[in-house]
Formats: sequence, C-alpha cells, structure tokens
Amino acid sequence: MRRLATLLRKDLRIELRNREGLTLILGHALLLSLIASFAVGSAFLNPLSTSRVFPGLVWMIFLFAATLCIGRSYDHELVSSAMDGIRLCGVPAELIYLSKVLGNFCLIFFSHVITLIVLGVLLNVPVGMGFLQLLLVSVPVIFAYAALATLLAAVAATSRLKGMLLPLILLPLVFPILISGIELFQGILESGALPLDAVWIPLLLVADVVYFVAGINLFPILLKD
Amino acid sequence: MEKFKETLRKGALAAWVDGLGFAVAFSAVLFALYMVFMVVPNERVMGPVQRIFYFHVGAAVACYCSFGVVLLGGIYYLATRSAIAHLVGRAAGEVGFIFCSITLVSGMIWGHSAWNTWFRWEPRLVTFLLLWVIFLGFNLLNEFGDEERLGVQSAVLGILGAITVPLVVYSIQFLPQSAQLHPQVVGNRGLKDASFEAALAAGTFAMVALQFFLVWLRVRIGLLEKER
Repeated sequence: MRRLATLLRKDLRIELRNREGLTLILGHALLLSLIASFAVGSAFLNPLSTSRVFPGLVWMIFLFAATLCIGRSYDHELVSSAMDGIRLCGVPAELIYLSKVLGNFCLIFFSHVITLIVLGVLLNVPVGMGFLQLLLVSVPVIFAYAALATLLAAVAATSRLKGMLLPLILLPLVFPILISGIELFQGILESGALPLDAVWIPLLLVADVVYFVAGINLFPILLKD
Repeated sequence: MEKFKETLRKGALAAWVDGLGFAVAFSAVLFALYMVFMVVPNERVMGPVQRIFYFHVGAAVACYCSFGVVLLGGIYYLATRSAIAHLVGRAAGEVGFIFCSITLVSGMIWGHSAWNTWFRWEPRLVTFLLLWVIFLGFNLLNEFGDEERLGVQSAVLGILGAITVPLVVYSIQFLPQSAQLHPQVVGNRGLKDASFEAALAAGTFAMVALQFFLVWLRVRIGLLEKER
C-alpha cells in the first residue's frame, strides 16, 4: 500500500510540476466543448433536444481529450527508461499498473468535471440539478476507460505510429461503456435521479471488474516483454 | 516444435491438410449453393432476396468463430510464446474481418430490399458494426505494431477484443429503439419448411469450413513470409 502511494505520488508530482497532461487535456476539452456548442448551436434545437444530445457530446469530448492525454502517459518512462528503474527497485508490475490507472483516472476525471460544467453552461443544460448523480455514474465509466486505456497505451507506446495507433485500437473497445455512460446521463437529466433499475449500472460494474482484472494480469506480461 | 513448423511448411502433412481443407471447403460451398439456389423454394413475402439469409447467418457464425480463434490463439501465445499461435490469431483476425464485412454487406443488401434502407440503428446491425471496428483495430495493430513485441501486444489486444464481444452483444440490446427490425427467425417462429433448415445448416457449415480453411492458408503464408 505504501509503495502504491509512493508511485502514485510520483506520477502526480511529475504532473503537477510540468502540467503537461493537465494543459493538454483541459485545452482539448475546452476547445472541443466550444466546437460542439457551435455545431449544436447552429441547429437551433429546443432545450429538450439540446439536453438529449448533451450526454453524447460530453462523452465524445471526454473520449477525444482523454485518449490524447493517456497516449502520452508512458513518454517519460520510455525516454529515460525510468520504467526499468522502478522495476529494479522490486516494485511488482501490478502495482505500477494500478498506480498508472489511478493517476490517469484522477487526471481525466478532473477534466471531465470541468467539461461537464463548461458544456452545460455553453448549451444552457441544467446540469446543476443532478450534478452529484452525474459525477457518481461517471466514476465507473471513467474507471473502466482508464483501466482499458492504460493497458492499451502500453501496447501503442512502442509502435511505429506512436500516439496515432492508440485511438484506433482503444475506441472500438470502449463502446459498451460509452453507451452505458450516455444512457445513464440521459436518464439522470430527464428525471434528476439515478436510474437504478436500468441495466447500465450492473453492466458498468461488470465492465470495471473485467477490464481491471484483464489489465492487472496482462500488464506484467507486456512489461516483461 | 521446430520439426512441426518444418512439417507445416513443406511436409507431406501440410500438403495433405491443404488438399483436405480445399476439398471440404469447396464441396461445402458448392453444396450450399446448390441447396440455396436449386432446392429451397422462394420465401413467400420477400421472394428471392431471402436467399441471402443462408450466407448471411453463416458468415455471422464464422465471424464469432474467428473471435474464438483469436482468443484461444492469444491465450496459447501468452502461455507458450509459440510463433504459430501468434500467426493463427493474426490470421483469424484478418479472416474474421472479411466474414464480418460479408455479414454487414449482405445484411445491407437484404435490408435495402426488405426495409428500403441500407442501415438502421438497430441492435444487431450496430453489434456487427462494432465487431467490425474491433477487428479493424486488431488488424491495424498487427500491421503497424512494433515487430519485436508484436506477438505479446497482438495477443493482449486479441484477448481484450474477444472479452469485449459479449459486452457489446449484451449492451446493444438495451439501446432504446423505435422498432426491432431485425427478424428473430430461428428464435421466434422457426423455419416453416424443412428444406429451409437444411439450407441454413449447409450455408453455415460452408461458411465456417471456408473460414477455417482460409485461416489455415493464412498461417502457412505467414510462415513463408517469416522465412523470407
């Protein structure tokens, strides 16, 4: 547990010192929000339709911004072979994966919250009503995404195409969690309460467990190779 | 293992499997064509277009089989690091992509004449579209991945892709939809004429046999490529 905290602190400290990831993801999220609101704004939708397209737009912006940001999460390790250094200290690969997932989760969750507020203001969607519920269902969606993306970023990091390959191999796999996120957001925006009877929450929890278990078992194999 | 590889490349066993695979796949496809175009009567409502159905369902089954092979190949590769397992997974990815495309295109042709639209946001169509992009991502990785680590990486992505398939199939069913357009033929009403069932079985067997034969050929081509 202490080693995990140390690893996580290391990742977050690097992030806080150079603020590369934060700038990258927030910059993209804000620009994409602006583009999305222009795209929707020129259609002169009524408030009801706007709040119906809102969940899809939020998660689309999330996917683009987060994928760009996670694509570079191994850059520091690869440049100075810091990964070898960490492994020489005797840290198990599972812990490295866990700390990476949690670090990425913090970063993309923060940017997701900002996007939610900014896009809500720009499109005049009352997100304040069920804001806590929106954040609550975002947690399993973003966790499943982070578990999957952290693993696949390690795959894409060494390819010839670098960052360009990650979206191509990651996005096809995130559709189930993306659909769940969109449907849950729509339910919350319509009723203001958590749609507990829907199938989406169990589905998300299953996806969380499946991707996390797969990640923690496959990441050490990727790292050793 | 080396000896097995050698046998695969030019040995008598490989030539024998080549011949057998070709004979089975070729005759199965011929028989399915005969059943579908000569034996089965026209369907009452849709007429001749309905004959696509036999190949459409067969290709869909072959597509799921390919995911199975990708998954098994990936697991076997991670357990043994055998180069052949990597080639099998890779071959199944490419062949599965083709069969997924066949399912989609034949479904679209059928849909155009039955529903007067090429594509509807309807559960099974969306499911196969998503399976298609999963195969696409897998093949892109095999094409552009780092050669030295490709084996492990492609196995990892193959396993992830295959475990995502049930999630996709399950989640898509619950999407809100105006109408369930896709016919649930076998589940709901069953096939009225006995020859329909026989043709469906023949079509499915032909597609699956063809798929395994193509995977086999692709593995052999992969082995020859490695030697170059």
